[in-house]
Amino acid sequence: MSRVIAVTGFLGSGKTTLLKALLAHEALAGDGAIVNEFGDVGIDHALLEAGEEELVELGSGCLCCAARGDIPAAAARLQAKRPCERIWLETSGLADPAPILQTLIAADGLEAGGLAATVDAVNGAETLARYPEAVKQAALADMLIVTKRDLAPDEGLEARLRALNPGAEIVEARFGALDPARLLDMTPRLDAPDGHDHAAGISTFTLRREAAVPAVALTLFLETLADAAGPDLLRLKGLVRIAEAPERPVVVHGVQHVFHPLERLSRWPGADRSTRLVVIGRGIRQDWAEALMEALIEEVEACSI
Amino acid sequence: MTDGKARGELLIRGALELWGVEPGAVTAAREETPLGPAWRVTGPDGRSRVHPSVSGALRHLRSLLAPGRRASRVLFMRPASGEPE
Repeated sequence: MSRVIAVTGFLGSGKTTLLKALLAHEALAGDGAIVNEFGDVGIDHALLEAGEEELVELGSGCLCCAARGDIPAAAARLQAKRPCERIWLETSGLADPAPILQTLIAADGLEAGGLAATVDAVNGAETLARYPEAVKQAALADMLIVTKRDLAPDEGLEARLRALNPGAEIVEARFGALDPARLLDMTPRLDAPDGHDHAAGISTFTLRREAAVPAVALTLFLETLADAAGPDLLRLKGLVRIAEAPERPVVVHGVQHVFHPLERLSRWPGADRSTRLVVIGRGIRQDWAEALMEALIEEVEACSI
Repeated sequence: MTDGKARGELLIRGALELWGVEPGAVTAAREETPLGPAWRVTGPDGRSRVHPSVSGALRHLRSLLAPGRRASRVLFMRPASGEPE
């Protein structure tokens, strides 16, 4: 099983500089790299593979990356040359990271290790204003890496990023310099404040519930939310207190409609034992999502009486 | 939380906003039936249908009001450990 850490970011935002600097760290010796663009950067100690995206549009009209083989195939070629436990995946500058994350969730032999997005301090604000690809990259990331800060002061970029993705840690990298340990353990915050980016219409909110949720109601909620929100559900992640096993929280992690299998932890990671689900989406109202969950829980509980 | 009527209105309003559909002559309300709670959805044509779950009611609404909108079906991928629990 190879853990794949994805690095995305708009054209010229410093992905390759970051990756080159990261792979020069001794701690990452032996790691592999897949780039989605051919570059002229020499990476001496890492193997380099180029994956070309193969997009398959399914009959349902759903562009599902589960059928995409480029990333697993590139990873397999990489492993054939030199086995590596960790792979860094640099996306193209215009990539939609959602299907890439879905591929990592779905692919045999690969494990999704998080998504970092680079944002250029010089052009980042304008790029976010003009290109929806850049907005989606920033909204879906587990970590936001601001580059080129030495060239431009913060004139609201960080505030914009916080509004877009309040759950992501924001760090700076100058000339790609960043402690790789920060990227190796990217975990989305589940206690993030709510956020809303008016320009892009993307909002982030947390559904909280103290009382336990019947397992069936959780799956019904996920299905109904995905059905109603369609492509506007960007990401959903969190912990759920399940009525059938309240001491073992269930981890929910989905990118659009593709989810990791629901997995039970052996115990709660902290004192907070309430359900909290972070929803990142376009046009999804928090009170609507809360009402939907409560309605489904009531239905299930009514059936159980 | 709200009563059934208010929740029904909220569920409709939120869904319409999500779908970019202007509010129209559509109502949905939770009601009691001999078989338990249900959702009655009345469309612009005045016809109403009763759905046993809010999930079906929302799907019905979407088919009426936003038929071209893409829906998503949840896919659970393989267990991370390779072994089902």
